[in-house]
Amino acid sequence: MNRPNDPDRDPREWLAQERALQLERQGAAAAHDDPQASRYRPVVRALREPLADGLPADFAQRVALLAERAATARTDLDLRLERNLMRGLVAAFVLVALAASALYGQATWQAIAALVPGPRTGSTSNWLVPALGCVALSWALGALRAAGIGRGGTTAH
Amino acid sequence: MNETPAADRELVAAVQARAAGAFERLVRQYQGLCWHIVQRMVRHPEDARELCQEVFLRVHQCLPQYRGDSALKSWIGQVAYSVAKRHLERKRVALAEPAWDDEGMSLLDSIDDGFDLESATSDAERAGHLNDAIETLPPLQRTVLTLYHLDEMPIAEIAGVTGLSEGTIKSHLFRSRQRLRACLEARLGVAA
Repeated sequence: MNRPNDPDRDPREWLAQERALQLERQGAAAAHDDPQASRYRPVVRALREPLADGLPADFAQRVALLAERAATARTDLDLRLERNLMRGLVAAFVLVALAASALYGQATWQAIAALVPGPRTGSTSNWLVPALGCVALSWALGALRAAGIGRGGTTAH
Repeated sequence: MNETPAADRELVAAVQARAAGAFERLVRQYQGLCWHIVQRMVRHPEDARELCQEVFLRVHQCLPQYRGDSALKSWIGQVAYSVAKRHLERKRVALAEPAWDDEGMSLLDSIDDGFDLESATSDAERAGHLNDAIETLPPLQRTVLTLYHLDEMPIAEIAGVTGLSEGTIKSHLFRSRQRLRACLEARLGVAA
């Protein structure tokens, strides 16, 4: 809906304003052939006057430095947060594992030992050693892989 | 100043890759636009300087969100406008005052249509009166006028920066220019 002073309600006035802008952009001499546009030319000329630059000469350099520092601080904060979350998760897992062992450990071991076939059914000694060997081997391989990544893979962001 | 979409993308990629001097180049390229928007909105040089800094820090932080749908100039203009707008809202300064239109129009009614301002007054006198009149406009109108006349931003782009419709921008331009003309002619004693 048009309001009382909308350009659509007074297209001639709008065109006069736009013509004045066009003439100022072209740097045309005062146009006496278009008196309506001439009335807007001083207005348009004042609006096209550059504003006094209030930013210091080293503004860009200073802001770039601040932005770089802020970005580094954000990255550090993200890494710290990630590390702390991971620690929290591992601690929670260990606590749950300990609690589960304390509550159900004895019964679980007996149930597992009963399921595993062996010359002396009910004893865990004949399969526990290879099982622990597997765990140790997995851990050692994991540690070796982590050490390899630590040496060669931390440079990429 | 190269502001083609390809140049925009290249500059953004360089900033995101943390290329040396890339962000400084971006700031240098758009600090004028930012100053125009912020200074026209807040009219306080010290606040405007601080807000311009805030604008570019936010641009740096949010640059990964820039998808290239609009020109980088418009996107930075949007950030500058929203930072300045929030500052005015915090200070409880109205962005646009509806009452000023009627005042301007009543001035217009008292002006003789045949008066030739150009030949009747000196440039300095006119410029002085007009600058005073521009300062009396509400922040939104001042900013829209500056973006359109000084930064030569198309109406569609100004609409994108301010989040207003193109019709509203056109309306603000129309009425602000009418009001400035009326103020100037009234100041110079041009009565009908």
